[in-house]
Amino acid sequence: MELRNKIARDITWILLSWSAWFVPILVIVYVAFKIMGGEVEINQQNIDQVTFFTFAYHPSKIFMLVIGIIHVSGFLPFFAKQGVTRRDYFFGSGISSVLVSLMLMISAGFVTLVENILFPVIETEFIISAEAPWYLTATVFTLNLLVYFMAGWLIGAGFYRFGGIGGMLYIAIAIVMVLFSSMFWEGEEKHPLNCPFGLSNLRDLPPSVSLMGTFLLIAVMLWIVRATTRSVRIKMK
Amino acid sequence: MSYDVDVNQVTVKYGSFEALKRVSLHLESGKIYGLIGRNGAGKSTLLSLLASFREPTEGKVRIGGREAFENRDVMSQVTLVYETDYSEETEKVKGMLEAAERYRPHFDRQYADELVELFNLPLEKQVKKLSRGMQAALNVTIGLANRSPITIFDEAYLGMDAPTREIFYKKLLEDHAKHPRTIILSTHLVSEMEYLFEEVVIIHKGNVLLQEPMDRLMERGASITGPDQVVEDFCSDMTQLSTQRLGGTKSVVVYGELTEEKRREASQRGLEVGPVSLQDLFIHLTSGEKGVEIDGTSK
Repeated sequence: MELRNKIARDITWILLSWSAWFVPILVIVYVAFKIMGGEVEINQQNIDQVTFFTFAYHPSKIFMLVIGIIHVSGFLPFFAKQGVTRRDYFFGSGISSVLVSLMLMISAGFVTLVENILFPVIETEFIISAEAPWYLTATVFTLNLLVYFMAGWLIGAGFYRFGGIGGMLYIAIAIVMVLFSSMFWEGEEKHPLNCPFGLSNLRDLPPSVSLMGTFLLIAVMLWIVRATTRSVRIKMK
Repeated sequence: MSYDVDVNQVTVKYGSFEALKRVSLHLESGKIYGLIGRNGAGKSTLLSLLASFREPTEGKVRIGGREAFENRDVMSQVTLVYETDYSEETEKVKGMLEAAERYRPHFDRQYADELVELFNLPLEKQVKKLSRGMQAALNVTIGLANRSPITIFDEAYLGMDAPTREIFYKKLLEDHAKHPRTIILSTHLVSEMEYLFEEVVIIHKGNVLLQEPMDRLMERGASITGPDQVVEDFCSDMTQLSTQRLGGTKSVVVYGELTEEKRREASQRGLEVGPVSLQDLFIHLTSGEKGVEIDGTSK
């Protein structure tokens, strides 16, 4: 347990040092867009009517996706060289992904708090809805970052183990997973997706079911990542 | 606790290609082993098994009696040093040493600092900005300072210049004397490194051709030096590995144990009998398609 915590701490530290670049850049872009005003629309949202929290949601998901994609090839050989097993790498990374998602959510929340004090925004766009309590919004923010990290991790694991063609299959799996997750939280989409598999009724699910569904997605992706990396050959490069 | 290595009937396949073919090997802990073989012989594959970098397709790899693959207690005690692609490594030298210190139970920081100084490694420089030789020196520094009970150097010297390699060999011997552990040196530079080996494993086309203590192996051949014609007569019925001529003097390296009788005869005829080099033996033993049959000791 102690070893896994150490691995989690070390990976988290590195990822947070990257986030320390990402969040300020996001703030700068946000401020620039705010100055430009209503001309700027992001995801069909008018920039004048969103807070930083809502603005940061989509870029943060992409950030986590990218981290996930490079995770296996970047960290696994490094840890194997230190005599760490694939299993310990997996658990350490899992813990660290939760911590990083939480930290990003908290950072976005903190910037939004400051923003609300300095320049209050009259919001019309929300991650879930205007009525959703803050803790649910925070949970959904964090969970969806995790979903995107897992999707990236899945892709990276697939490519590391199977190379090009096998990796493509993992991209397909990841896309399906992300589609499911966005169906669970359809409120985030201004123009809902045309849901695949005729599952459009998922849009009206109560949050508790959506939460359960998201947890399930994360569990499935974790399982696939573990199964893929369980005995993967570490490349000596 | 012992860290004897037992490789039992191990086969490794890459698709339909067999990189190792039912290989069995026992490495007693505490010795310095030379693992030699030609390109593609299966050296790195064998070593990556010991470090749990891959799983055997068939057979078992045990270290200290325990299955090696994905075993935390075993993996943490094995260090595999190889030429690593650091072209994207933004971490500094210092950071790499700290990482090893965090994860390696026997890491000796003071010794690492001593080696850093010896190799002139710049602590504050990013690893990707180091020359190839410096990167190799960093790898070797970590490999030695880890003090892992099983330490493997897979052509770790690549890129190092001759003086740096000499420092590496010297330090390796010194540290092994102070802290005995299993060290496996996989190499192409046979003539340069042979004095380091206590035992030699020759691997050829996925098979272990022989495993023998160095002194025993040296008895498998001899160099015969003397007047041209006398040497030629003396060696006529022996397997000759190489010949050198200088003026009227000829030196022939022969393969096969020299009997007492033969040695006496050589001395009577004024011939000088010297040791054979591992390099000559290696080239000879791995020259054919299947390598030379080794009487009685073939594994």
